[in-house]
Amino acid sequence: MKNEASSYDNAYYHDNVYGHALAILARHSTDGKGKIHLDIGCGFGRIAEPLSTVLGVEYVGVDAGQRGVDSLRQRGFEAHVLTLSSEDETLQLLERVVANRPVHSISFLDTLEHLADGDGDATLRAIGRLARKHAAFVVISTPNVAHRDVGRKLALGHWTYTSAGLLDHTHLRLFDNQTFVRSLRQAGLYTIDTNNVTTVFSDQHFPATHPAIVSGSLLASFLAGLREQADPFGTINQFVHLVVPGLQTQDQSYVVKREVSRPLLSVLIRTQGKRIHTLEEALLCLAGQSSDDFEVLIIGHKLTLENQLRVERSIEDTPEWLRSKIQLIKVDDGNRTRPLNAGLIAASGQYLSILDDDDVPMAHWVETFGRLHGDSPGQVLRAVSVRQNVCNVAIGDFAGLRAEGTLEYFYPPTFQVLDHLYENWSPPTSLAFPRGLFDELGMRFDESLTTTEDWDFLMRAAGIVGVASVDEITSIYRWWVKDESSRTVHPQSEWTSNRQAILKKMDGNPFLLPKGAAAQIRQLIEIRNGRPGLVADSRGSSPEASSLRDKLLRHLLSSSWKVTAPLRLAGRLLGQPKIKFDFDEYDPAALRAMIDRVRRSMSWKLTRPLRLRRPPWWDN
Amino acid sequence: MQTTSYSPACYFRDAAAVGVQSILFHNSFKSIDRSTASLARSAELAICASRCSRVVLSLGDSSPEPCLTREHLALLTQRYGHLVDIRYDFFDANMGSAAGHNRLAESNDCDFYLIRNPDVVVSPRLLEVMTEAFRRPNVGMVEAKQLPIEHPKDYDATTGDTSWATTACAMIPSEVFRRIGGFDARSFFLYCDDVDFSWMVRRAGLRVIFQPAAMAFHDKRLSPTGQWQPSAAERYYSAEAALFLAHKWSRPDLVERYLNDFAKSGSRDLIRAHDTYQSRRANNALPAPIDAEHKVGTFVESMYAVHRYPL
Repeated sequence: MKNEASSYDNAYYHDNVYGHALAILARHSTDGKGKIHLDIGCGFGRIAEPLSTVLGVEYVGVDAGQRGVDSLRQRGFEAHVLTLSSEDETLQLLERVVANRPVHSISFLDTLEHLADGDGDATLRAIGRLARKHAAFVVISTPNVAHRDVGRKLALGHWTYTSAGLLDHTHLRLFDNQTFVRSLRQAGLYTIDTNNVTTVFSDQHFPATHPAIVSGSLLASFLAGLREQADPFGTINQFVHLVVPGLQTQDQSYVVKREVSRPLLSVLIRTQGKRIHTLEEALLCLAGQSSDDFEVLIIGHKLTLENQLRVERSIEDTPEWLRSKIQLIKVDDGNRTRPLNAGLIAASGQYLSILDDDDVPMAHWVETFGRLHGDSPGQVLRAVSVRQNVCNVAIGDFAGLRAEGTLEYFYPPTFQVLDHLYENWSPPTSLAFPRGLFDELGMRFDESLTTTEDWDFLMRAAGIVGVASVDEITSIYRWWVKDESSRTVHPQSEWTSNRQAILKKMDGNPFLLPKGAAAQIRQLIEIRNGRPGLVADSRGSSPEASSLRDKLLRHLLSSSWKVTAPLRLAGRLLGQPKIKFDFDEYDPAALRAMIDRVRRSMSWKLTRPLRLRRPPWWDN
Repeated sequence: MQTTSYSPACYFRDAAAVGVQSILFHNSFKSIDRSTASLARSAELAICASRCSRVVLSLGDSSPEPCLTREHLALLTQRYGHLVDIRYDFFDANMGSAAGHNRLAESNDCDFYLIRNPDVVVSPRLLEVMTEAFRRPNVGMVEAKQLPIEHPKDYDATTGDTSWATTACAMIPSEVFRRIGGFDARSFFLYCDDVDFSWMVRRAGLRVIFQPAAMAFHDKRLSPTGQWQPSAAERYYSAEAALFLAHKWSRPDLVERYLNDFAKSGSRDLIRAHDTYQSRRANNALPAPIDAEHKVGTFVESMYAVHRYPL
């Protein structure tokens, strides 16, 4: 209202801010006969005619601009010239205008952004006090500076003021949804309804070929997908809130603390309380962590009373230092994915990791995630899980878990995004997801999936922030060979259908690939075309050599090779030379020769039965 | 102490006193503190359940310099002293595990000894579950399951009977410990003292039981290639122990095979183990072989029990 450089004479339309403000008032208000509606920052007050007709109120406009006030008076409405300042002074001025008449409602439309910081908040507080006194509804609007057109252009360095609109050059304060709500709160104004003005193509939708906003652009499509997931405000041009007065908070309209103190890791443990001995093992492994920079959220899913008591006892049993880090959250509905979202909302860590109640984290599980975070902050963090067959036993009166097989190096030592586009090679316990994915991008686990929800989440995350992996083995993923598990509970058809759903999602959106992926794709094309090894990657090692090194490593890590170590030792004692392996070798032919030596060895031949269940990437 | 009148070979005690023994060697205060916190919680639960009357933690320090200062000890006592009576004995010599535990046992007046690595974190109900196992007849030693890497040696999936118990975390009635004569510190310095002791328990007609519901987290890690990379000392003492164990449990064929392998190995550590053994043999300083009929001692390849899977 202090910016007289520009005077606004905007017409009333049902689909502009005037129309939306009146509609939301009409939706909630009772008969306004004998009462006034106070329009603060009214400008030319083109809402006056329809508002007084629809609500039956007496319209009173106030504005700092004489021309608008004159216009209203000429049209037969009461209007006053008034300059807003401090809270008390503004309230006094408004009270003088009201002059003991009952106030039905107040509007404050597209004015807040024209007031300097202190004046804006002070005016809102004065409006709050006036509304409280009269039990009046208040409708407030302001432009959304976080409209996707503004945001995408700013991301690429463009910020263009205009004569009017979202980036009106006279705006003194800018609001996104969060700042707007905080400003209302500090004034004791609480939103009870919204009727925002939505504009897909805003007045900032220029130049027409800007790659970040033009609808046919891949970049625009990628950004649109992210934004739609992040919040529902991307296409809102003006926020239009109907608010009522309540308690005034001590909050500031601006953020005081940029960061809050958070543990490194939130550990989400899903449990139904059915196998309490495995939960106790998981908690013991957490008690043995070399880093205590974590919190634990145990999500009890559909717990019976008996199982709830058992879970609570397991928590209560832990040492005090660990117990203080654990909270139990009960979730009584949804499928197995619902508890993950419940935990995700409650988690306070910088990263989130899912530890099923039968997983075993090793002592440096948290510590390794911390180190990866230090090296590659903000990416999905991945260490290595090994797999081990287990079954239940009971000795005396106590249930226990028995390992039934060796530690299997089933999962690749590094994250290969192309492999993961086909199927999942990373158990949840090997991963930690950065908080930004769910706080800032609004990502959630897909509750329409009844299995492999972790793969879906991983791939959506990997396609945005990437994956930082380390070949350190930090956890054991238990594989139930006899007892009930998700593999046995869900039929194969369900796994297949969930996989199809995930692939469809992957194919439905642009996917950001990491550096080096293009070379891997070229290599796949060459293999498909029967001409491997022609393309060298940017590291000086051909993709074929990289692949062969991975393959060699898989052979040396295999159970087949390890179990036969005594044989080779005996062979060496009998004078056979030790087989040497050079992982720095870049020559595909030499690497292939090393793999051949392994495969031609007696050790390899003797252990053929062990390799019958090997996964499909083994020979790639 | 109240003694229940079960069969003579039942070592269960109501409200038993448990003496926990650990040998320190370059352990950090942080790991000792974490370990003691878990033990104190287990003691608290066992005392509340009237399964234990008191728990004593005896820490014997074989390090060249003390691992714990007075301030450390005061801190441990302040934090856990109301649950665990903490005693500290700086040996001022590296006594190894067998002799170290024997020395701690001399002043351990409890009903049960819990032999435990100093850095293990025990499960909250460990003391209750392990003492409970002694209700069954003829149980002379109970072993807790190690996490994250479970030992692959076989055990009966119903009774828990097993060939031997690792003393990463194992409980022994004091009466059995005394009857066996403690660990054979003359033959074993660092390794196989637990294998030998377990077999002595079984030789005395008692059972060695594995109890997976009692758990001890022992920080063991795998290299990215999944291989154990032993230090020189580990290579030496494990080789020496293998020789003495094979000798003591009447497997001269294995002794000769090991000696032969070690001599040809080219490894300084293995050759040193070979020489130590030969020197003891020449000086008639080897123990008299026992179990000539091989009723107890079990040698399977280089292991002392049938293993369920290779690790």
